[in-house]
Parts: sequence; C-alpha cells; structure tokens
Amino acid sequence: MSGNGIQQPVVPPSRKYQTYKLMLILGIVSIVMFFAGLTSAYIVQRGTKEWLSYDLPLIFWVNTIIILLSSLTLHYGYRAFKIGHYSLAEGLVWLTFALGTLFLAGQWIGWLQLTAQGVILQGTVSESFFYIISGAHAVHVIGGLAALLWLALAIRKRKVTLREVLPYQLVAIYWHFVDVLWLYLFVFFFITL
Amino acid sequence: MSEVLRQGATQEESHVEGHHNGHHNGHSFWKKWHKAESFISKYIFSMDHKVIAKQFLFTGMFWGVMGGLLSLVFRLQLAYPDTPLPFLEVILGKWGEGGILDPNFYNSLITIHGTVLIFFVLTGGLSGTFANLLVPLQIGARDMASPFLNMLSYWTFFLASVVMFVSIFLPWGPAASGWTAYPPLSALKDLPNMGIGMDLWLVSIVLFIVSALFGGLNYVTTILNMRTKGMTMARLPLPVWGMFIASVLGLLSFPVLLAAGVLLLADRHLGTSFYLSEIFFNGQALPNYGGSPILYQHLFWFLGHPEVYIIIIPAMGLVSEVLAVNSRKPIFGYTAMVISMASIMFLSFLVWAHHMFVSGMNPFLGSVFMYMTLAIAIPSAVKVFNWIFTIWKGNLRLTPAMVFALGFVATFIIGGLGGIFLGNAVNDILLHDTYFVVGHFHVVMGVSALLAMFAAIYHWFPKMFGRMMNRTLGYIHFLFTIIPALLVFVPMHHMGMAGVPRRYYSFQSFDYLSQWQDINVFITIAAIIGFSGQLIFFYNFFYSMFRGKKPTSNNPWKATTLEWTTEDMAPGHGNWKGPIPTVYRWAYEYSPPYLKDSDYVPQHVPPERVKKEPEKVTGEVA
Repeated sequence: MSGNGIQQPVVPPSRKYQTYKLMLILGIVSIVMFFAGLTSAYIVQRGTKEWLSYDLPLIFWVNTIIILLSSLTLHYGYRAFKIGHYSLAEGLVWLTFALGTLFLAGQWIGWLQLTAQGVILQGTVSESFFYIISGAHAVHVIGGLAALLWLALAIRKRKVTLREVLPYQLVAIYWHFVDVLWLYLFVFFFITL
Repeated sequence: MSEVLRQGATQEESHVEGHHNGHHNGHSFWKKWHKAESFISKYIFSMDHKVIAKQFLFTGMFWGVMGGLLSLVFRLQLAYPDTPLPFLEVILGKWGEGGILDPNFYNSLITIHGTVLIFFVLTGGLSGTFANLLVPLQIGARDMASPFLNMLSYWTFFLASVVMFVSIFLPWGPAASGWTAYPPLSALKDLPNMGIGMDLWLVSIVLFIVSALFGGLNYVTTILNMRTKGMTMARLPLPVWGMFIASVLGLLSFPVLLAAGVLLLADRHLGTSFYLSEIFFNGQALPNYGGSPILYQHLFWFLGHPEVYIIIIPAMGLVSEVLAVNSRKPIFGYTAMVISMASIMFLSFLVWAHHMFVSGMNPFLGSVFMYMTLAIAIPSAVKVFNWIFTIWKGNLRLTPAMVFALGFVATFIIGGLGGIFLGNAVNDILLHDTYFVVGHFHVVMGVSALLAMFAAIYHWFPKMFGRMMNRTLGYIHFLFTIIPALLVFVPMHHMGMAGVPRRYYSFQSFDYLSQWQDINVFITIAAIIGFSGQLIFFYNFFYSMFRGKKPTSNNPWKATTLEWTTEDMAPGHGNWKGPIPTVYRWAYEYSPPYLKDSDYVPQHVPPERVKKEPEKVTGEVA
C-alpha cells in the first residue's frame, strides 16, 4: 500500500502556482455568484410597491476610499516584496491590515448611523437588503483580514520570500477582489436606492 | 525562477518520503501512538482521494438506507391510512402514537427523504465517490490538486450528515417543509416541526453547500491542471468530462442556494421580511411586510434545477464509459457527447422558472422558460441516440455494470418523456403538484441516477477494494431494483393525470381520490420489495469486499483508460509506483480494424508498439 517507489513529487511544482491560483479564482467566481444571487433578488424586489428609498450616510463614501487605498498599499507592498525589501513589504501589509480594520469599523459606524436614521434591519425589504448584503461582504473582509495577518507574520518570519511568492499573490488576489466587490456593491446601492 | 521550482520539488518529495519513513524509534507507547496516528491519517482523516471516495460512498450508502426506510414509513401510511400499525409506535415513539403516523411527522418524513436522497446520496454519494475515485486515476494524477481541501470537503459533508441525522431524533421534530423549503411555511418558527428541526436542516444544507464547493474547486482544478502527458481535454474519458461539467455547474449554482438560505435564516431569526408579507398566524397579523415568497422560489430553483443536472451529468458520464467498455465499441459521437453535456449545463441556468408556472408569473415569461426547457430535450436526445448507437451491433458483454447502465438509458428515456409533458406550461398547470411530477422526477433522476451509481459501483468495485462483486447476485439485484422501481413510479404518472395531489397525508376524505387506494397499496408493496432487493446488494457489497474473488488480471473489463494501469489492483497512496503513464490516444479505441487478436488499445500503449506487433496489444501491465 505504501508509495515507497514514488519518483515524482505529488504536485509538480511548476503546476502548483497555476493550480492554487486557479482554485482561488474559481472560489472567487463562486463568491461572485453568491452576491449576484443577492443583488438580483434585490432588483426583483425593487419593483414592488413597498420599496423604500433612503440616502446612505457619508461615511460609506469614506469607507470606499479607505478600502481602495488598502488595495493600493498591498500592491506597493508587493512591489517592495518583489525587489527583496521584506521589511517595507511587511509594513505595507500591516498598513493594509489596519486600513481593512478601519473599513470594518467604518461599516459598523455606518450601520449605526443608518439605524439612527430609522433605516433598520427589521424594516422594509430595501432596508434589510442593505444590512444583509453589506454584512455578507464584511464577513468576506474578515476572511481577508485573517489572510493579511497571516501574510504579515509569515513575511516577518521570512517564510514567505522571493522563493515562495505564491502566498503573497493569493492573498493579494483575494484582497483586491474583496475591494472590487465592495466597489460594485456601493455603486449598485448608490444607483438603485 | 527555476531555483524556486527545484526548491518546491525537493520539499514535495521530502514530504512524501517523510510520510513513510519516520516514526520508527522510541518507546513502545510511542510506537503504539504512531500506529494509531497512522491509522487515523490513513483511514479517517485521510487525504488520499481513493480513501475519501470510499468515505463518500459509505456515507452515501448509509443515507440511501435511511432515505429508503423513511419512504417505507410514509408509503405504509399512504397504503393503510386508517389502520393502526403498532410497530410504528415502537420505532417512531410519540410520532406514531397508537400506531397512527403523526401528520406533521409525515411532512418531516417526505422532507428528510427528499433532502438526503438528492443531496447526500445522489450528489455527495454519487459525484463525491466517483469524482474522487476516477478523476485522478483517469487523468493520470497522483492525487487531487489539493488533497487537504479534499479531506475538508468530506468532513464538512460528514458534519452536514451529523447535523441532519441529529435533527431527525430531536423531540421537536425534523423539518417539515418539503425538500424545497418554501416560505412562508419554512420561515415561520412556531409551526409544528418547523422550529429547531428546520434550523438544523438549514445549517446542514449550508454545510453541504460548502462541502460541494470545496469538492468542485478541487475537481475542476485537478482536471484542468494535473492531466498527465498527452492527456488533452479531447482525450478525457467521459466520466471525467461529466464530473468537470457538473462541478462547474455546482460552483455557479450552489452559491445562489446559499444566498437563498441566508435570507431565509434572516427571516427566521433576525426579524427581516424577505419572503414574508401580510401573514395571519394564530389569528394574529405578523408584523412582516413587503417581502415575497416567490423571491425564494426564484433563488431556490436557480440552484434547484441545475441540481438535477449536477446529479445526472456525472451519471451520464459514468454510464457512457460502462456502455463503451462492455460493447467493445468506441463511444458513438464523443464530441457530441461532450457538447451535449455542456449545452445541458448552459441551458439548465435558463429554465428554473418552469417550476413556477403556477406562481402567477407573466405568461410571456412562462413561454420563454417553456421553450428553453423543451430545448433541453435536444442535447438529451443526442445523448440517448449516441448511447443506443454505441451498443448497436456491439459485442455486448452483459456484466452487472452493463445491465445497470442499460437500465439507466431505459429509465432516462421513460422519465424524460414525462419531462416533455411537464415542460409545457399548458400541461404543467394541470399536472403541477400532482403525482405525475413525483413519478417523473423519481424515474428520470432518482431511479436512473441510482442505476448509474450501481453500474459504477459494480464496474469500479475492483479498483476500490481489489476484489470482484458476485455476478449472479448482481443480476438478481438488478431485477429486484428496476422492476419494483417501475411498478412504483409508472402508476404514479397515471395518478397524477387523474389529479391526485402530492404531499397529502391521506386521500380518505375525497371521493375522487379514494378510488386510488388499491393502487397505493400496490405501490407500497412494490416499494417494500424494491427496498428488500437492495439487501442483496448490501450483502454482495460487503461480502465481496472481504471474500470476493480476486480479479485474474489488472484490467478485468479490458478497458482502455488509465485507472486500470496501476500496479496494484487497489492502488495505494500516489496511485502508480512507477512513473505516471503517458497517453497517446483517446479513451475509446475499442475494436479498431487494424488489430487481430485483441479488440482494444489502451490509452498508454505507444503507437510504435501498436504498429510493430498489433496482435499483441493488450491492456496488461508488463
């Protein structure tokens, strides 16, 4: 039963890069379908007579800028990483992590302000949708933050170096996706509310 | 870059080596500990795709028995509605007080029956088993792209099973909303059997979706990235194509069910009104306002319809392989087979609303969905045509796998014809929610997918356990499966045409329905015989696992595909002891005219060898 005669690695390393990236991208496609399901449900319900329109508090604009900035810091971190400036790269990943946390805090404040406006989760469907959809996005951001935390520590311990750039690339792909996803949701709510 | 790659290679190798060499010194306690540890990592938390395949198979078989038993209980109720059956109280406790089945528990029974057979048996049990077993073996890979994610996929599936199983035995009763879980019924916590049972049902489905996504990610990535040298996409065996297309379908449609489930959970626990509006309950108006239960139906069927293809497309792939091998002929229209599976996948996203013709939708919209639905008949007919022409004038070997595969084609045709009736909005409005629907989907995706699963089990049993299943018992099992199945489900079509509604606890109160009482008794008896017939299978399966005949050659069915080229009949970790074979041709080189004594050329035999000594080409491993 034992594979003591194995002559080739289980995963040929040249394929490892493609493999994990492809897997992540397929996972992202699945997440896109999840949000496509939610936003199309929103559009279907929008035609009904009980639809309530409301203005989003200003803080959601600020949050959007913050999360866009965080993608930028992560990208510059990668550029530093690629020329071997590990400490700078680590710092920029930490900065990205901080901006991501700030984004979440901002979302929380935004929800509180919305509630203060009288737009509540238990209200009409248009109100509930905003909380559920932005909440689901926040859950995906939390996943991204965990990945950033891991990446920053791994760069500090030099586990992720130029010999092993894949983890940085994977985390970056996911984080940029979460960013673009928020941009889509924000524009979507801005147009449809 | 090349240094990076080499580094990766040594790491991978040392990982594989270390796995087998370490842990040999130290005290006897540690020896025992390591022994236990290796048992756990080998059979329980295994990352080997073949072990995971068996885990899926056993879990699927467990749920198959469970789902079958549940159906027998409600069949007994339908056949003998007013007769107390004292043993029901023994097995069901308070749900069968005085031998009379509790009406709410009847709803729970049909709910759990449908859910576990669709998701746990025919999705997890069928695709989970054979995608795991066949994808790496047939494309020539040592394992899945991510063995760890693969293990995670099984264990989330297992967790989903445990949650569902626990929900059945809780005193508050399992979910009773039907497998579709339509709100408002499923959104109201205070209805009988709709409290914790329904929540656990939702949690279990969410876990199942996660498991299906993990699995799908792995299958697609593995098929795209890990094929051996020479194995182009156009040379893939059809089971692999089936798994590939079904996985893509799952990756795109399961998340939408997740969205539907999230909104349903919010309605149940966060006080939102996505699916609820103007509902009077216990004489009071609920505060929920503005939602729509139709919204759930749209989201649900956006998965729900692709789901039946997630079940049937892998089954089609498996059957195509079994038919070609046992007809000793190339599969007829390989490219057409692939294109038709892909077009079924594409069309399946555009037909969901044919489940909702009576929901008050715009008739114009209904007709669009109707045409899309009827268009699925085209690729389905292409497939049936190709299967028939694959066996046409073939040198048929009626192995148990082959008879089950033929049974699949037959039931797929019979059930598919019912689909043409239901796909027409005009007919469907009359037949909606009748036994015609029940009969239709049981034949076309229940029975036929089960027959395909049995075909695959009989065919690949030697690959899993290194032994053969008993043929005679296989034939008896086939007869005791297909005949009772048709006796159960064909009469249901007639009942449906006469207007018998589905999901009714009893038909005693209506004159026009009570005339079907004798047929209901007949169906129940047929169902009991059919279920008992499965005991033959279980005996054969477990007996053969330990005492079955060992195959005389490494390629007992004389197939061309790579899984029969491993040195061990049931290969260990890494699949091939030597290098992975290279592929030189497609998977269906059966009875080519240039061969004399042999009637097939395996995928891995180099063309020079075929040219030099065409009479000696066989699939035997040298």
